[in-house]
Amino acid sequence: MTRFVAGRLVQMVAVLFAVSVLTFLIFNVIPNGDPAQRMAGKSPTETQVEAIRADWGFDEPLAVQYVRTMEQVLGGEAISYFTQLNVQQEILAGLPRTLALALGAAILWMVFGIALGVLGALRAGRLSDRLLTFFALAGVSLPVFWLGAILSHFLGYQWGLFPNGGYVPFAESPLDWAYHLVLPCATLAVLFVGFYSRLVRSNVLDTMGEDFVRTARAKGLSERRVLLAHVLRNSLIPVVTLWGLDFGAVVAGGAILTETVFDIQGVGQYAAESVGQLDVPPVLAVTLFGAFFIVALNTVVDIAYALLDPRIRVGGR
Amino acid sequence: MSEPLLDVRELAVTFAAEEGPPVAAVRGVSLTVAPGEVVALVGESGCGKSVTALALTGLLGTGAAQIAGSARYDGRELVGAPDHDLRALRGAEIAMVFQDPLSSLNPVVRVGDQIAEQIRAHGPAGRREALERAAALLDDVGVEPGAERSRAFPHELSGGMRQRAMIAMALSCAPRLLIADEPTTALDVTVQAQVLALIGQLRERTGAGVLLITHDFGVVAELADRVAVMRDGRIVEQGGVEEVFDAPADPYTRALIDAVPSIGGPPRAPLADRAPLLELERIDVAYGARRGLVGRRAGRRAVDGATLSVAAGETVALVGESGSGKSTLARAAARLLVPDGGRIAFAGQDFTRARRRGLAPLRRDLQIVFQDPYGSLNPRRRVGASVALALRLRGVGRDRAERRVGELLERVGLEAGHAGRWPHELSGGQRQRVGIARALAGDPRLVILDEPLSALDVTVRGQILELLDGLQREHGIAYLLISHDLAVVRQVAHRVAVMHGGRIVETGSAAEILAAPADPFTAQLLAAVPAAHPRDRAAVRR
Repeated sequence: MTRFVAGRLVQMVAVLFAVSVLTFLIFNVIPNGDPAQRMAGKSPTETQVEAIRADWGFDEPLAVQYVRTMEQVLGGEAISYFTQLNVQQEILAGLPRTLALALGAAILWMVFGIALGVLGALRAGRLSDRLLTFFALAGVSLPVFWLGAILSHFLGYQWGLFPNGGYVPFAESPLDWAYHLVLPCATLAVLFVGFYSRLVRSNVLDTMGEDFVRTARAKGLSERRVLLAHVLRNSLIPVVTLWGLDFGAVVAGGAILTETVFDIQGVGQYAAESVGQLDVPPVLAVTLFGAFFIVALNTVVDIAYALLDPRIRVGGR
Repeated sequence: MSEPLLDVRELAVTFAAEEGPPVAAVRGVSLTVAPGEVVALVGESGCGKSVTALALTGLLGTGAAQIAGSARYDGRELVGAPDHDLRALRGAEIAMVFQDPLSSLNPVVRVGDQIAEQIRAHGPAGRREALERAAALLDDVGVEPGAERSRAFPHELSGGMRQRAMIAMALSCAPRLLIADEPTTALDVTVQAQVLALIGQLRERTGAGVLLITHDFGVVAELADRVAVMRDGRIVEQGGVEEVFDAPADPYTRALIDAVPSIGGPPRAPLADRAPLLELERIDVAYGARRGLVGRRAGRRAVDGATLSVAAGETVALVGESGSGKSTLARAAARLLVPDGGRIAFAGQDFTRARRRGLAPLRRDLQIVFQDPYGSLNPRRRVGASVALALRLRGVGRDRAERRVGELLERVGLEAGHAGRWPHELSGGQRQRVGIARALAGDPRLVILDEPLSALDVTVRGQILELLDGLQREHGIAYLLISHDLAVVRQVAHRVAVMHGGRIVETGSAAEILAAPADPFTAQLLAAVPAAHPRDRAAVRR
């Protein structure tokens, strides 16, 4: 176990290093990427640009720039080229918003995914199952920016049932906080509900054909108990692990569109804006944060898998 | 005779088919089981015996199956009974044991919890009380210590332990009828003997009736009081076990009984001195060993200093229980793995560390036929294409390969026309013939047969054995036969090597080993072979 976690930590350092180098290089080779040029404002003189370049060290070799930027990012001292604000503080400010959105959506899609998936499996082949399949497909196919805009326009703007975007901190008003999160969470969850319900449906159907389910019936258990204690228990193991991975991916940037559509001002939206401005320090910091989160959740998922399924050993081959 | 506990009359089961007319799986089965009686329902795969058992307990599921006729348990009608009533009987009065204990137990729930769950489903019992009773039951069936074993997950128990745990579960509510569906088919002979003895003891102790479903007349001879032989959904013969064995009325029954390999009869004499073809010297194989930065970690020794040779045209049987290392040794012989120690030579050439091209002569001259003809043929490839591939890999041109495929299929008793079929369109025996044809494609000098019969029906086994024997006489092929079935070994082997715990504990001519085993483990294996006739029961059982 310790060995496994230690191994994952080493792996994480390698991943973060690779990701940071790639990100840094990409933003230094794309055209129009000279930050000094853009920081100097409209029609600057050559002297001004040179001064900025020397000031910020943009004239030094790339490797030196990389090391310095990384020192700043990891030390929490990175400053945005354009807003001049501390990157770490910006991320920390956005993090609760992104986490609230991701967690809310993840719970929604898990609950509805399981419920609809089990329903589909129990009614496999009947009309209700076909309808569920249709809606699942529709949900997976709807683009977030379209669905979000439609929901926000009708339910928010036109009918006034929900706030039209924005975010209220939990500390300010828990009720308003939840109220503001309903639409964004639902929008983000729709995409996953379709996918998860299909997965749960096929897993449940597979498990119902297993010999041990026949044994459970032969023991005289009620159908309800057979379903809960034997079928679901086994068919949800892969779903739970996938859920961990998807949650990580959403926090690490998968919610960018939703955050932007509903103006949540979370980490994803911050990343999107920074990318638009070719602002290297925040992009680097957010990318590293995302990569860290994904690798960390991967590790958690692997450990959870071993806890849920006794046949799997952590780090076993 | 006492009042029957189970009285089945004209039971019929029909399945609605997706296309075409409904399929009648069971067509008018009548049989009875009295308290304390073991009735064997015997037949080959697909004859409807398992469907009969599932229909009795309402486990066929609603919808697909139409059940007609009558089945009375203790005076109560089971056919058409509401699901609620059947559920109350299942587990409490009528308990079942299934074939494969690994897949029949929930892999993620502790064994004790699975037993306790049944106890609590049928009576008032607290969780702790139910668990204590589960532990006591495990002790009863020899899964000891029960208190500790009840905390194990199914995969942590051996196959025999798992089946015992299944039996403990079945007994947890003191049922009056036990339906055991192929309870020993997935087990080694020695474990089979123990499980059969256990079922026998339980019948004595609890007076429960047992409906024993099996394809194996050896199992019948060991345990049954009465026999019903089933074929194509009908019972073709029914009677007391001695009668049926002594004077089977139906030719099909006769064929099934004859298919039980007899432990009597003369074994094959060893061949006169010949130069060895395959030589294995002091082979070591360890699993899980690794050389890391900080020293080496020794693994589990699967094969431990095994020495064995096979001469041209000879059949050598490698015998032992599962886990004894026989398959691993065979994999080393075929150089599918590199041994950790020892030497492998074939036709005088050393292949111990040969790589890639160096292995080519061995890959050509040594072939393997696997146990499971279902799993070892590519389901997306026509049979002919699978055999042709084996030829093409040996550099035979496309046209010649196609012609040869027909020849090869005919040689193993199929028709050239079978080349166009898919594996799922063939029976188990036909598939195994394809496996053999594929192995013969390169004109091998030695074929490793890894449990080639155990996935097949008894009547098919005889045919495959004959085929293998004919091929050996005609082409002088040597066989290394891996088996846990000593009766089969006796029929075909010139020499026998017994493996136990990774070591070869005994080697010799079939006659020597089977008549006068020197090693206690060999003696134990021999004693576990089921009786060929019910009257031999006592002689075999302790």
